[in-house]
Amino acid sequence: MPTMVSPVPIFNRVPKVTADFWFIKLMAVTMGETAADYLSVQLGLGLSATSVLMSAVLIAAILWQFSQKKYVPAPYWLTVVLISIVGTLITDNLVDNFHVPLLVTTIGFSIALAVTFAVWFAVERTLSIHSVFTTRREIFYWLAILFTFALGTAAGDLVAEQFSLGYLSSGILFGMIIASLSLGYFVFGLDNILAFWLIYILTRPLGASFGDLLSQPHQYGGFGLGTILTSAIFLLSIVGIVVYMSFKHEGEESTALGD
Amino acid sequence: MTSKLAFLRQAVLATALIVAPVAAFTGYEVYFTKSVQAATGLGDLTQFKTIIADAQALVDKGDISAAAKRITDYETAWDQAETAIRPLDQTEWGNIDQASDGVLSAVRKGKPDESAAKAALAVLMTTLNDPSKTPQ
Repeated sequence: MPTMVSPVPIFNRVPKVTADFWFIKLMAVTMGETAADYLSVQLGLGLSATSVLMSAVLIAAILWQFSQKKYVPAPYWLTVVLISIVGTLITDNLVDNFHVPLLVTTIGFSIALAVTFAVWFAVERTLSIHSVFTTRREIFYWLAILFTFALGTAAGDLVAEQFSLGYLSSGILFGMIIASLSLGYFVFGLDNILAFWLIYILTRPLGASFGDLLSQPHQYGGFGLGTILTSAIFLLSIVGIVVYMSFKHEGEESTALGD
Repeated sequence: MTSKLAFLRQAVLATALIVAPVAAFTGYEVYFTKSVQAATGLGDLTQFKTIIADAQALVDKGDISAAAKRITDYETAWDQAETAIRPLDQTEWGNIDQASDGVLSAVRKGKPDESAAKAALAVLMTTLNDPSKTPQ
């Protein structure tokens, strides 16, 4: 690989963290939850077949994303949506098929995420999400994202199961923690990278509670929209925003100097 | 992240920011919604008990085919509820699911046996009333 020493802009391969970013991220995780549910239960493919199929699609999306060498909304958000679906399926598989307790998966994914960050920092001396402009950094970025999704799913299910919270209550709980961390970032000087990753983990259970609230039947405290309609509404909204972002070139970050 | 101290300060701040809302939420739940904690970990199972009671009445009248239809309603409701209630308690859910399978096979035999159907329905009703016990 030739080293480029020139004032050619170096592109950040991942988006800037804006309000839109969190909005679409939240919709992606909501859809991940309901779509995983739809594919494995209602479509009757079964958990194992669905997991294999979606993992194959995810690998294709990752290859597409890595070939861009800069932030392009479509492959980036497609990868996020698919990681969300596959992450949910992996946790469901571990619990349903392999009978691994949620406490074990929660601790396991916490360790995996901590190790990812430790190695990322040891190798790159930064965990910055504003300077992901090499393939190696991008691998760390996506690996961390995969584990935040898995951890968010396991921790969210653990809280809902242990305390028998309804969808609305758990949604409120996770919403409150996110609000508190945002306050910490804006008012008390909480580190932006730390705040970003913590909130990234917590939007997963928030989105899942929200998805279940919309899709599950009335007698379980849901709105009874069903998994198909819920997934479709969110998929369309995501596609709409991604098209908008593609035209506006929003979220693109580049630098002539590097970090 | 210039020093260990700054890192420690951030860790303490993050922990405090997470603990505060969790404590507030827990306090609220414990104080105001104590009675919401249902007797069974799976929550309200009334709708299933109602259908099974209907089916029991139909079997008692000797109308097994009408009972079988009602049990199909039960099967649909039970399957649809899986996502919602299974995570609440895997073991209890498994017990009811096992008792449900017993009822389904009893009424869907080529020539259903009335006493076998009655017995299977009774087992299911007992399990619905106390899902913590394994059927039979």
